Parts: sequence; structure tokens; C-alpha cells
Amino acid sequence: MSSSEKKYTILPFGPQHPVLPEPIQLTLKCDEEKVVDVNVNFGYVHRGIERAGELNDYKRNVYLVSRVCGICNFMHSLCYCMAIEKLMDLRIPERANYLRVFWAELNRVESHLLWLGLFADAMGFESLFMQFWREREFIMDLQEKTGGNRIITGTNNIIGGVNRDINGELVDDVERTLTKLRGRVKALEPVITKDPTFKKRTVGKGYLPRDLAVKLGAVGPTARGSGIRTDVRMEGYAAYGELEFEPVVEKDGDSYARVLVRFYETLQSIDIMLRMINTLRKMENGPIFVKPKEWPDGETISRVEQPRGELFYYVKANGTPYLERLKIKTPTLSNLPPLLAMLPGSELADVPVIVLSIDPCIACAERYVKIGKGGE
Amino acid sequence: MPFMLPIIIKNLLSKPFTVKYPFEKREPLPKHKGQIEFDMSKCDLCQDCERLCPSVAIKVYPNAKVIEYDPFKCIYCHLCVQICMQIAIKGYTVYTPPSYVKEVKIFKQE
Amino acid sequence: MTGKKFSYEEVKKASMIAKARELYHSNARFMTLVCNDRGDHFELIYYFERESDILEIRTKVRKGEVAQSVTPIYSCAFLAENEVKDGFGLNFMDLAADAGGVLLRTSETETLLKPATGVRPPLFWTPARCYLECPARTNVPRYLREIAEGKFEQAYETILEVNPLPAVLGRICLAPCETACRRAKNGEPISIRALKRFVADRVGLKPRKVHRNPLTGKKVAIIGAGPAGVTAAYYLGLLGHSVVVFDKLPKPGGMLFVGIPKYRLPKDILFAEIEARFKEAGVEFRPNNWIGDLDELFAQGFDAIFVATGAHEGAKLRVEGEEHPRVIDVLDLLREVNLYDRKPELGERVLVIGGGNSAMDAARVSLRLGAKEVWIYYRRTRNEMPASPSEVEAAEAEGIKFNFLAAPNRIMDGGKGKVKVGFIKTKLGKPDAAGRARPEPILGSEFIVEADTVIKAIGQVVTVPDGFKLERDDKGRIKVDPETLQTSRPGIFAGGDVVLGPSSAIESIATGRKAASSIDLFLGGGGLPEPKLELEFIWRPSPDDVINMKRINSPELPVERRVSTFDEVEQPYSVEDAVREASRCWKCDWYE
Repeated sequence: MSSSEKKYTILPFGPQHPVLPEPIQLTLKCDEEKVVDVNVNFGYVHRGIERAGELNDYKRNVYLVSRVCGICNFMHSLCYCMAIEKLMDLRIPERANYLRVFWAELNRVESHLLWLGLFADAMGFESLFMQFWREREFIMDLQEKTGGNRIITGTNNIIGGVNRDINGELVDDVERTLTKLRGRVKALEPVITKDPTFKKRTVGKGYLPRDLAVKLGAVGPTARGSGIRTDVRMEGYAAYGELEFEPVVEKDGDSYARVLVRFYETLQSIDIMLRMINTLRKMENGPIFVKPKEWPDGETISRVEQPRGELFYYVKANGTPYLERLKIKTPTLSNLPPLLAMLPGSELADVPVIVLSIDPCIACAERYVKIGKGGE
Repeated sequence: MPFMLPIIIKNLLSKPFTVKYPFEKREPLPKHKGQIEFDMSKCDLCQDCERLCPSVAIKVYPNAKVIEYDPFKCIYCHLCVQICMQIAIKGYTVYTPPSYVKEVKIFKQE
Repeated sequence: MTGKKFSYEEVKKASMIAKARELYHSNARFMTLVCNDRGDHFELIYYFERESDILEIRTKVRKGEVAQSVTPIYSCAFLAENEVKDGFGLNFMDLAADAGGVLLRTSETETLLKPATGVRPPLFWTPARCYLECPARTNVPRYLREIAEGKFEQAYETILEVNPLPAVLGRICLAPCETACRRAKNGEPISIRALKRFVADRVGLKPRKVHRNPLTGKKVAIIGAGPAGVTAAYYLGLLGHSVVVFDKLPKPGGMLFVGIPKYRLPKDILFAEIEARFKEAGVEFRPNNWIGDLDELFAQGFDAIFVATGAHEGAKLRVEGEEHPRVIDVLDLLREVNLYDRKPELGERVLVIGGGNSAMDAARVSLRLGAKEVWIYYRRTRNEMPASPSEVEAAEAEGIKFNFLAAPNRIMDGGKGKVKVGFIKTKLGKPDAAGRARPEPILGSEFIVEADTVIKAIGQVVTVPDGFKLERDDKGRIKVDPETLQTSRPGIFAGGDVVLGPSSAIESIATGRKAASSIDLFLGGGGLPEPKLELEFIWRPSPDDVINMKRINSPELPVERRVSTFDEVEQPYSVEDAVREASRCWKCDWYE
């Protein structure tokens, strides 16, 4: 009497994997190359930032919060500063708003170029990976010239505005670099849209239908790749209200759609930056920050569009220089349930591509959630 | 593959993008935030830089007239350079070189 | 910022599931869940995003109870709820499977998000140096800020918290605050003293409306109307006691009246200010009254006595021939000029012996009384002179000449109304107990100088009538308890120069206020509050704004006009200059 029990293989994907930028463990239950079920276990990069945010006073927290994620550091400090400014009822000068949009889009371009490179590398297309990362060098040079450091620019956002200004010759220099960069990135477009190998590995893999995306709370390019038109930039924080912003949306819902969304977003961001530089050049020099008048008091939330989705901050203060509670919700945490829904039914060799297609930045999602052994 | 052909030919014919490190060094661009140094002849031990440092890398002892600075805790944000009223802290564009031991730099005032 | 508006709702714990089902059917997206620890209960805040707004739902869960999870409906909430469960130890009922369909069990370990331990980075606050150096602890940064904002009345009130004579001290104070100012390192401290004088002149010397405590019925006698006495009288009067001030001179002021020349402090300003303070505090002034016996005062009905008679006798040179009629003490000279308004004849050549501020005063007064040549002799060098540098420079500007490293050792009669003084050259030797170099005479280097008048200005000694029956120390000063300023006899307090020895006006004012507080406690009151800097939200100015602003000195009379009259030498600031000078301050008491 042979047992009719089916035997499954349990494969750990991660925490160290050549494809993953940050450690996360997915336990895949496979039935001979097809994934049947998945369990997630993460928390390898927990640093206790929420608790450290209560020890520091509200001004030092700007530097602490920048270091939640290295690539999207400007968005974190922007969101935090916006929350505190809402508590204090400060009105930011116009020039500061334009500068904030400029640096935010710079971070977005850098992050998308980094992701496109990693995605190509995950498929084995190393030369495309090198090309994308070469374009990224221009962006990092721009960040160094305008901000002060290549990746984490620091001191750019302070409560009440920004710390540095872009004027004089630097404006022309930035514009030249950006125009050159746009040409180079656009030259890589045929590889993504027409190359058959690229398409064969991404079309149809990791399918997320539209209603499931809504139910599971997907955000960012993961949701936009499935046809949902959602973007926090449409709300009009900082200077986005003047831009009449339209997000890039694709309908297919598979990994290829997400790649296209991110690629076209890169080009769109470079266009936004060029518009901002033009506006900055025409404006005359003005103040770039205002001084607060009192300590923050009350509780509020603020949201910002990160390259990966919607970033959410909850800040509670009580009139002293110390905050009572700081809560950060990063988009990767919202995108994990859709990932767990995408994986069952796919081939084992497609798992790296699918995992990377939601752009996991586990350093951001640094809450520790211990989920024990599930399964039978 | 054929779609990358123009790029491949352009790469073949231009000079390499990598900087061969020990033979050529890359100069940091102006306004890069590098290491800092304290000028003790101008310092008057007011402890403002200690109050402001986000990573608690500066310790000032006004009685002993000594400043202790830890370059490994420092996050190179140059806030202390901006706040010092006696202009006693100077920020360079060269970053701190790596070293074998984690030591704390001590600046004394005579 | 524009954007979706927010709506708030409070929902009971049991109806959370029904609410979630309703939101699910209207296609709301689950955003996240925040948990706050409120002491005896947890507050859970759910955030959902709808088409038109962002909905915030709050529920309360008492500690020890179980919360209701929304995962049966919104399965993507399992991550956030597991995090709250692990972080705060709050259990959820129905915490359901993950989206893959496999039953999920969370581990039973203890909470990981413990309360924040670790070292809080320093947010300490150091009081400003000018405040710490002032003996009376005047709130200097605050009144400089108020002047820079144009609020002159408020600045006046700030000064009057610890010092009732700003118009006087704005002219004569030695200003230890200016030496301690952090800008002094580059040589340009803020002119704190001149700004104080500006405020006092601007607000005026009339009595103002001040709240005075209801009368307590106690009577206090104050002996001596100098700075210490006037201060104690003012504060005790405002606390509700009836104060009587006795003084042996016909007008109040003490050393401020008879010890400071008129070109530094015009006497009408002094009297007007003291009278204004006496009127505000309801103080009675009885001049021309020399008190020799304190028991008499107790017999007259006074409950406490404050002795502030000061130090009015000049020190002796201890050389032979000192009693010559042409050798006078600077205090006697100034008394003649200030009190009796006489102009004594000093002759053409005057020698002044001494190196302090009173020596400078003596020399400048002699010039104004008609002397043609004035020499100052000091037994150490210029660097050790105790006079303030600005006084020395002013004396030099008027044409007074200096001779250093010479000490007198004999005084002889020169006939025809002249006097001869024998000097001996000195050199600097080892430091003495106070740290200053001791002058040692060089043998065989005597020389003789002839003059019409010799003025000695080497300091004062404290003299107290024996009838007071108070214990004194070896220098003749009254011994007091350092905290309460009470003497060896209960009910009798002492302060000012008579306790400290010859010192500055601001130190006497500080003891006067301290004595007023402790006399009030002795009489059953509550005492005065200690002066302190409060923690206010003050923004540090950025260095670029203030570093390049140079100091504006107060305008002065031209030198030719100075010497012939006793008019006041220093003139007040204009309003723009004062505001600009006050905004140079670095706000060392910043706290943001």
C-alpha cells in the first residue's frame, strides 16, 4: 500500500542570495520545480529606529530617519519634515519647495536606475546591468555637486525648508548633465521593449490581477503595473500641485509591465527635473527656509511617494523637544502580501525575477515580525 | 542583442569609464563633505558643537580644555562647521582615510 | 498642502469587524495600523484610503484584553498586526491565515520593542556667560533681546528684577559681563553697560506703577543709603514692610554720591532715580542722622536692622610725613567737590599716588579744578593696574602723565606751601598671596619730586562704630553668615562694602537684594525668588548674520570740552545704534 501523500521539497530562498539586495528569507514549498506555497521570514536588518526616534530630540531625528534606507533617504527626511511642519503650521517658501521636488526626483531616478540594473543582472544580462549603473554615476556626481555626498546627502532637509541652494553656474551644469543623461537612458529603450530574451523571461510571469491588487493593498509601481491609477504625488505636496502630474500606468499586471512602468517613470522624472531647473533659473533668489517658533505638539500623518510606493509617517509629539511616538510604514511592507500571492504557481527559475519585480528594499521594512514555521 | 549594437560599438571605441584607483585618484567635487579639524587657538570651549552633533561624536571638557572627536562616529554632516561662532572648525573636501584602529582624536588647548 | 482630506471615527472594539466589512465593499485600501501605549490601555489606529479621503479609525483596548483583528476581511493586514502583537504583547483574536492560504502561527516569544533604553544624547543647556559673571545675576541675554526687538519698557522691567538703579549702573559699573562676553575674544564685546543706560534714560526716571504687597506692619531700619541700603529698602518696601533709611549725609547715595565725580555720574540723575524708587516702595528717608547705637533703634519699635554703612575712610600710605596738610585723600577731595560744591585750590602741579579707578578719578578731577600738570605714580607696571583699561585711556586722552615702578617712601615740606615727596624705584618680584607681583625697592635709586598737592588714592578701609557691638574680622569688616547675611546679633543684618571690603557697586546691590530676601524670611514672609534664566524657545542666529557686525562705541564729548567742565563725558546711543548693537548678541542662552 503506497501512501498517497505527495512529497514536497522545501527550498530556502535567501537570506543570502546573489540576486537579493538585502536579506529576506522566503521558504518555498515546491512540487518538482513548481512553487506551491511560500512563507516569509524577515527582520534581518532590524535596527530599532522607531525606538531611537524617541530618544533623540525632534531635530536630530532628521538625520536618524535619513538612514532608514540609503537609496531613498531624501524621501524619508522629506516625509518627516512635512509631518513636523504640519504640526507647527509652518509655510515653506516657494524656492524650498522646488528644490525639494528636484532632489526627490533625483533620488527616484537613481533608485530606478539601480533597480533596472539589478533586474537585468537577475536575469543574467550583465552588460545591461553595467550600462544602467554607468548612467547612475552621472546622477551620483550631480548629488555630490548639489548636495554634498554621493548617496546620503544629509543636511538637505531641515525643519522649515532646505539647507542648500542651487544657483549661478551650477544651474547650467545640472541642466547639461540632465539633458545628456536623458539621451543616454532613452538609447537603452529598445533593449527593454524589443529584445526577445528579455521579454521571454518577464512577460506573463508573476501575474497580479487588478482586483487582487486592490484587496491586498499593493502600492507604487506594483499597483500601477496592474492598471490601478494611484500615486501619492497626485495629492500635490511640495510643488507637485503645480505640475499637474499624471502617473504612468500599464494594464498587464505581470513583471514586464512593472519594468515598463519604472522605465517610463525614469524618463518622466528627468523631465520634471528639467522643468524644475528652468523654474529655479527664472525665479530670483529668495529665502530657502523659515524658522520654527515653538516645539511640535499633537499627532499627525504624512505621506510621500517613494520610488517603491507610498511611504507613511505617523508622528506624535507633546510640546517638549522629544517625540512620543514615531511610526514608519514603508511600501515594501505593503507590497509583501501581493508577492506572497504572486509566487504560487510559478516555476522555480522565475522566482528571483518575480521577487525583484516588486523592488524589495528590506532595509526600509525594518520591523521585526517573527513568523514561526507554518505549513502542515 | 542586436538592439544593443550601437551602444556596444560606442563603448568599444571610447576610453574606459573606470578609474584605475592607485594610479589615478578621483578628486572629490567642491562642496563635498569630508573630514573636519578643530583649531584650538580660536575655540572658546562653549560646547555648542557638542549640543548640536546628531551622532554625539564630539565631547568637550571645559575645565580640562580638551576636545575629544571620534571620526568613526561622525556622520560628516558639517553642522558643527556651520554653527561654530568663533569659526574654529574647518571642513575639508577630502574624506577620512581608513585606519587599523578605532581611535579618538584629542585636541588640546594650551 | 492639498490632498485628500481626513476623516476620523471612533469605533468600539466589538464593531471593528463590521466596519471593516463595510469598508471592504466600498473598495477601501488598507494602509497600516499604529499602536500607542497610553498607560492603562492601548490605542489602535487603523488607516484606510478611500476614493475621496483617508479614514482614521480609533479603538481602545484595555491591557490584558484581546483585540479584534481585521484579517478575516483584509488578509493583507496580517503583517501589521503581527508587528503590533510582537511589539506590544497585544493578542488578536482571529488573526488569520496569510494570503497563501496556509495557516499561520505566530511565535510566543516576549515583546521585542521594549521601552527605549540607551543613552539620550545631550540636550543640555548652559547659561550665558554674561549672566554667570554678573554678581547680581542680571538677565542680560533677555534684555538685549528685548532692546533688539524695540521693547524698551520690558527691558527696563527685566533689569529692575535684580537691580533698582539702572541709570546709575549704566554709567559707572565695571561690567564684568563685558569681559566675559564671548565676543570679547576678538576684542569687541557687546556694550551691555551703555545699553542699560540707554534703556534707563529712554524710559525715564519718574516713579512707575508697581505692585506693592499689602502692609505687613513690620518696621525695618536701614543704616546707610548707599547702593546696598537703597536696594534692600526697595525690595523690602515692595514686599510690604515699612522701611526707614538713615544716612549721615544730607542726600542719599552713599559712595555713589561722594565717591564718584560728576562727569561720570551727574548727581541730579542719581537723586531722581533714588527718589523714584523710594516713592514706589513707600520708603521714608531720614538724612543727617548719624546712628551710634543700635539698641536705641530696637527701642523705637523697629523689628530688624540692616547695616550698610560702607567703607569711607582712606587707607594710609604708612610713610613718614604723611600728615602734611598738602597731602589729601581722594575721598576727602571728592567729598568737597560733590557734597559742598566747593572748588578747592590744588595749585599747578598735582601728584596722584595709586593705580585704581579712584586714582584716575582723582587725576581727572584735578584737571578740572585747574591743575596744569598731573602725574600719576604707581608702584607696579601698567599691566597690573587695577583700573579698567577704558578709564586709563580716558585719563591719557585728557593729558595726564604716568610714571610706573615708583613707590613713595618719604614726604617732606617744600616750603612756600609746596610739598616734596621722596620716591624709590621698584622692580617686580615674586607674586604675593593674591597672585600679583610684589614690588621690591631698588636700593640707592631715590629721587625727589616737588608738587603743590599730593593726592593718595590707594584704597579704603572699613570703619564701624563700636557702639554697634558687632563681631568683626581681622580686616575690620563685619562678620556675617554667608547665606542669610545675619550678624552675630539676631535681627541685625549687614551687607555692602562694610561686609565685603571695598568692592564694586553691583556686588553691593547683589548683597542688598539677598539681605532683603533673608530679612523678609526672618520677619515671617516668603522671601524673594532667586534670579534664574528660564528655558524659552530661542533660536541661535546663524554666524553669517552677526559675525561681521562691528561694535558701535558710545559717543563722547570732544576732548577739548571735557577738561574745562564737569559735564558728563559719555553720551547716550541713538535708537538705531542701540537696536543694532543689541542685535549683535549671539544669544548664548539658546535652547531650541
